Amino acid sequence: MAKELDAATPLAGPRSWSGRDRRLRQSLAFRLAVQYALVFALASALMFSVLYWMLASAWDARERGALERRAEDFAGGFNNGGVPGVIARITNETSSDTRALFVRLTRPDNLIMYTKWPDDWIESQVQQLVPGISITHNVLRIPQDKARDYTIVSRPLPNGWMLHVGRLMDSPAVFLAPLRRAFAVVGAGALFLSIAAGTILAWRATRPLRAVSETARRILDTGDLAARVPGATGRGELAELVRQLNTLLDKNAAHVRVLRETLDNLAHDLRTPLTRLRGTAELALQSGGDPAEARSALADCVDESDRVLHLLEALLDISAAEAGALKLNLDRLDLRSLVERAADLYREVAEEKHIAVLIDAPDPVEVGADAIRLGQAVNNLLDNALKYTPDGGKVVLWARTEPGSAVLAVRDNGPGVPLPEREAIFRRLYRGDSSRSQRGLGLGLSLVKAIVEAHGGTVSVGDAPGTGAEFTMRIPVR
Amino acid sequence: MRVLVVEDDAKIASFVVRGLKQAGYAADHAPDGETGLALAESTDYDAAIVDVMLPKLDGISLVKRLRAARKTIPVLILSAKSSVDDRIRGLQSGGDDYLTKPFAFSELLARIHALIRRATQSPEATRLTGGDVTLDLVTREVTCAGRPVELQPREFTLLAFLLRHVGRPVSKTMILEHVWDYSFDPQTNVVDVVVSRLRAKIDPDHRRLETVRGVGYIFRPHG
Repeated sequence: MAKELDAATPLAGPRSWSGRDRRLRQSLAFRLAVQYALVFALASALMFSVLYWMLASAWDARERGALERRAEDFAGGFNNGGVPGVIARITNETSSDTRALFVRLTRPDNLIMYTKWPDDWIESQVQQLVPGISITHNVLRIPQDKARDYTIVSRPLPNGWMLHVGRLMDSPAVFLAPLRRAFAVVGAGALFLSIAAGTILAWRATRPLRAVSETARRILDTGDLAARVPGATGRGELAELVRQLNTLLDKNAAHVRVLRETLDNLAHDLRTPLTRLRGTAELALQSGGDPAEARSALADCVDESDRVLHLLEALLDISAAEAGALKLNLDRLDLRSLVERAADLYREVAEEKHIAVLIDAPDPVEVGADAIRLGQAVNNLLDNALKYTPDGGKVVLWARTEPGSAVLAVRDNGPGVPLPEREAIFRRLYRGDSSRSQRGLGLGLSLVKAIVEAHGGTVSVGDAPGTGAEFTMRIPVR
Repeated sequence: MRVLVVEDDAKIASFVVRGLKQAGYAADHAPDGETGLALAESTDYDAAIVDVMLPKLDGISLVKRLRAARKTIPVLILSAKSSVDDRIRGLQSGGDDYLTKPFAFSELLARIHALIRRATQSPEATRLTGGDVTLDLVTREVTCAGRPVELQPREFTLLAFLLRHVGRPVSKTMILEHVWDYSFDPQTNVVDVVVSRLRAKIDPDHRRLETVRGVGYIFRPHG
């Protein structure tokens, strides 16, 4: 059963180490962290690409600019002194920079008039390209190998002459390689860190969820209704969830406790008459078979089973009322009619004990109530009063309309109800201490309470003026 | 006198049918609602005992359909539900009386007897007698062994009720229904109190008004 529950509810999961691993991978925290890390990685890659492209173009532009300035310089030499002027400019500058330059002058008929090859140029590679070039582009780049490009700037000179100035330049791919490497290393690290840190943070943030699931599983597995979800003190949605869940668990536990107590009481109270019943029947079976005795025993059995039945029905009524399942047929009625009916029902009982039952209700007391149910409650209050009032006593049924409620008080001049017992007498199956104990189910007052509360009212007990008990029920009037 | 018993519980049905036969009635048993309805429509019964929870057709619907077919046969509804609502529902459907399980067979018998008598009897005589006890419903005079007896109103009503069932046990619930007009048992000993008062007045030697343990009371004609 527990296994089935495990499989059926996502709350529960296996508890082995490999299971723990799977739990981590399946956990919301981990998935959230991975998703966020991926988004973060994509954004960083995009940013890096833009940066890389900008750096590469800036580098390129700078190098090209420098080359163009040299071409300008040499063109100046050509203007002043023709080819020798250019050569003079080249040889004047002995810097290594100049040595690395490729310079060529062509006549309008494409005849090469001067060429200077730097040491690191592979002539064959350029040879094929340069002579036939109809220069359309200002700048030409031809890769020499992976790392370097030939960069050649063409500058037209007067009279259709052409000046080419070139140099080997590092390709941006090489130049920016360390940056790429750094990005790869740092990026991977950051990605890993963000997944790890994100998982930890999300794992911590979703701790209340796991606590909820853990608690639910504990209750399912062990039936321990006292289990509560820890961590209800924080703020935010999850703490709120935990608090609400705990409140729910509290209420459930209270209901279960009440149910269990009722069942315990019921079992106890059924056991007593059932034991008597069984004993009577057994004794009759064992005895010699005197028909009169057997009949008497059978009659006892019937009496006892009737008592069990009444007990059961009264308890079911109370339980239904307490659970809010009692169907009430609400009518507008005068509380006095219920009082008069109760007094009429008990007239002979009161007369037997010489108790005077007085009705003190001069005006109509209108209330919306179930005539039969509320009548039962009034009857039970009067029944209770008559039981505890000594012979020759007096019971007053007092009814008034008060602001917002209809009030009925039943006052007697009996011994009253001791303070410590005033709560307890409304409990099911409670019977006062032995000196007051009378035959009865001990359910009358709890039925009164259940019925009155089902009507939205309250019932309480206090001291009657003078001496005795006063039971008061208040039913709200809408 | 022929009684139809519509009850799906074989044990209850058999003890009811056996009891009815012992009491001098002819009894037929139908184990479900449809059979019960068919029997009730085709045969002339004096009364029917109908359980509420029945296979195929429930007791309430059965009674409604009987009434819709203008069958006036008196019906006693049997039910495991004791709430006032269920009782009202049972009586509103056309049932004439309502008895809650578990019940005493003698009470069932007394109720069936009362139902049949109510359905067949000519208007009640104004004078009821039981042995040497007489009661006049009009003048409200009561005599016991020839001597007039003073009765209080409720004692009078109780005696009238007992005299209508002379020789048959009546339950406390029946007394509460007819004397106090209570449709449910208020769980008090008022009946015992009034019975003992009545006993003191008309039966000081305990020969007429007997207590039947586990059932109720029976009035036996004496003298």
